[in-house]
Amino acid sequence: MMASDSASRRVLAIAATDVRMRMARGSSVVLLVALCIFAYVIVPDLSTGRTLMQVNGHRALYNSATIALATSSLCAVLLGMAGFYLISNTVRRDVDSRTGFVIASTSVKNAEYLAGKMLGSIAFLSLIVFVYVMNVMAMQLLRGEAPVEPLTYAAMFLAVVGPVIIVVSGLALMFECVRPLSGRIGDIFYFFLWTFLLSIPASTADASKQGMGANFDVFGMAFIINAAKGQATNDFHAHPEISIGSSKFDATRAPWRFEGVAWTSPVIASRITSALMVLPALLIAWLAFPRFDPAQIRGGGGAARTSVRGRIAAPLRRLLNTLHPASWAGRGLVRMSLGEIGLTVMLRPVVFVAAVAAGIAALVVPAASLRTAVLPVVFVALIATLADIPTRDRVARMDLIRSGIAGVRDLSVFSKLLAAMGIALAFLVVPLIRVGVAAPASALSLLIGAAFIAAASVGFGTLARTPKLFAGVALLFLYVVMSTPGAAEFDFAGWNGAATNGVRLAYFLGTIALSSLAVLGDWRTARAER
Amino acid sequence: MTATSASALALSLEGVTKRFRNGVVAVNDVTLSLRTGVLALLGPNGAGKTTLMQMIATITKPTAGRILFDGIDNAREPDRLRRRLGYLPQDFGVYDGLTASQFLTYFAALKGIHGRAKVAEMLELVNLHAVADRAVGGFSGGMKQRLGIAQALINDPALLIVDEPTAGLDPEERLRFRNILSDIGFDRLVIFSTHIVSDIESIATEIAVMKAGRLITIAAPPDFLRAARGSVWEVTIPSERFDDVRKSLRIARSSRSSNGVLARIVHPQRPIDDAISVEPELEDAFLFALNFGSAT
Repeated sequence: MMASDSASRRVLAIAATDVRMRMARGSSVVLLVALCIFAYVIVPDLSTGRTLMQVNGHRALYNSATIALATSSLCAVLLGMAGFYLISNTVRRDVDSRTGFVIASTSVKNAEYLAGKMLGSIAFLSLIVFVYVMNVMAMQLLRGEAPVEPLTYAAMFLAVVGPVIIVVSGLALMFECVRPLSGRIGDIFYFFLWTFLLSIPASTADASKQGMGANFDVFGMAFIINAAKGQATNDFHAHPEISIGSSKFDATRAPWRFEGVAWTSPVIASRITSALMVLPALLIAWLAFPRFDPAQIRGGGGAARTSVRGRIAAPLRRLLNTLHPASWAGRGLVRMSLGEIGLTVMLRPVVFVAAVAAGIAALVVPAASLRTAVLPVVFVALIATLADIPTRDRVARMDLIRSGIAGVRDLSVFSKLLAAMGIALAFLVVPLIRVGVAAPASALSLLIGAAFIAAASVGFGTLARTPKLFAGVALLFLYVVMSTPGAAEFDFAGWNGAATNGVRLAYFLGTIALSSLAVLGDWRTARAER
Repeated sequence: MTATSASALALSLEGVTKRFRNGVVAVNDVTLSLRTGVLALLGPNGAGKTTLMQMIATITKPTAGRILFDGIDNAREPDRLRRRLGYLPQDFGVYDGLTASQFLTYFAALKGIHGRAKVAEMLELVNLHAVADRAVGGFSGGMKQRLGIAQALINDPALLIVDEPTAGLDPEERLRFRNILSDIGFDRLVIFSTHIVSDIESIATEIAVMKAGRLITIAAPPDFLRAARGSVWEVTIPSERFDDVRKSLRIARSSRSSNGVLARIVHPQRPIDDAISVEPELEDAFLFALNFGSAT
């Protein structure tokens, strides 16, 4: 009894401290403010001619059931992606601060530590969702057409977002504990896992086919579609076309009233089993957790050079050393930028291979595949490469040393911007030439798109001081781009062939804005250093 | 503080070796036996001090040999030691967003200590009580280090392991730190690694020297000094010859004078005809052990 009491206290202490530390960060405040703005945007004012949800062209009446259904689905998708990057540094923080060594020297069990971290992540994400729900309910008070029913919101968010919070927290913990997944490769891998999990409902959304698939519906997409379809099929006596998210509606058609979800046992059971998908992830995390053993953790010492990646990188590094990348650096903006590029290649020789592979792939594949297959993959690789550039000095505690070198501090952010753009260009030089020959306007889009991503990497990285924010936002953005091939506004790099001159101009201005964000972030850091 | 019975405490290492997967042998066949007191672990960077301490602290396991605490193998029952252990790692960091009080309360909870009294007592001990509610992100290096020692002591450990704790501390803080360790060492075992010999001068009850993963020597300070007796010399060398002498002999200290350079040399035999044998100091004895000692 005493032991279990002590264990639960330890778990709660770990969880509470985790939440406290996250909430103490300025970025959490920014996030909560952003959620307020998001709620304002996501529930459009009907007088603008836009609505949150439509069925067969009829807008859904703004009651609690409708707003809760639509906003919880959007929350689930976004939280599934962004939530992972928000919480996937909880173990790493203990490694970096070396407090992990102290924890490892106490009698805290591995399971207690992981349970505390898991609970902390769940609590933090739940807090975010709670603030979001409060804001959405406030929007219903302002723009709704029926009284606010808090229980309807609670039930819907618990059913839709609850499993997302649990599974994402477990996956983030697993990714941190499994060494090959604990770095940037894991961040990229999670993006594909998220896309895969999101695609499962596509095959299970039809109620008649709802079998085992519903149990893997982590993001609740099939649950939401079936909930709305069930009633809509009866009301319209036809196959319903459901649209969730801000869109224009036909005011001449009568609004459709969604009565809410029928909470049957199979429905509840499917949501519970979806949440239970966390169990294998937790088991893997528990088995793989190295308990801060320096022989096993990344950056802990002896094991580093024996990793598979290390073995591959060693001969590559020797080959690249013949180009003397260490000597590319020098005084002045251009040489400093070259130094940043050289450093990128020295730290991660695989970047050089990726850039060469991108060029070869762009040369040999058919023109159609270049846009639809090669360019998205190149951009994913580019995101993984660029994410570290603005933050690596701080992580390696080199920022103050660099600041002490004459002329470096003032040009630092500009050199990183230029270096990021240079690396983006190195990845895309062959695709640019090939696209440019056939369609010069598309090549211009590609050039602007590359600059946009490069500026975003430095902008977000400098401001947030972590590579995670850029990686998460950029991958989510790529997903949106790939999911909406016809939408000109998202064709930032012209690979969907939908970009107009206006879109190109908008992304060019976006590049300038993101570069300004980088300069602003750097100015803020410089002020703090003084 | 609750004292732990001296007779209950015994730590022994039997042929402890740590070989990393990349082939590097960080600690090589170390055998020693310890009871209460302050063990000063000396050695140059890369000697294996940190890895040895991490193995004793159950953070990483030996690849060969055993570490026994009260006769029980740490690898089998690590919690037995962990419950009575205080550990301060090298380059100890903090969670910037927490206050000193929150930080200590957290580690107290992990060690099964509840209540504010103990946290307040520890903050008082390390002289941080006045800044208990300030965020630790704004603390100086010395303040963070003191917070580190407070967390290590909060469970009244029978075994305290501190790895290079005085690095970055100012002289006053170093003195305070040494006094704390000295007090603790009366009835517990303190293992204290450093490469600053003056840190251990007044507090060590035993001195161990490591080099290239091996334990070169372990002895009480008088025996440690005695081993170097007859091997420490002073001689004034003409300035123009000094560079040549420095290349061939171990110079512990040197100072310029009008006659040349007064050099303190550590060597088993008289290194230069005019050299006079002098009483060794700890620094000399350390250099002697490091350069002329053989593995125990």
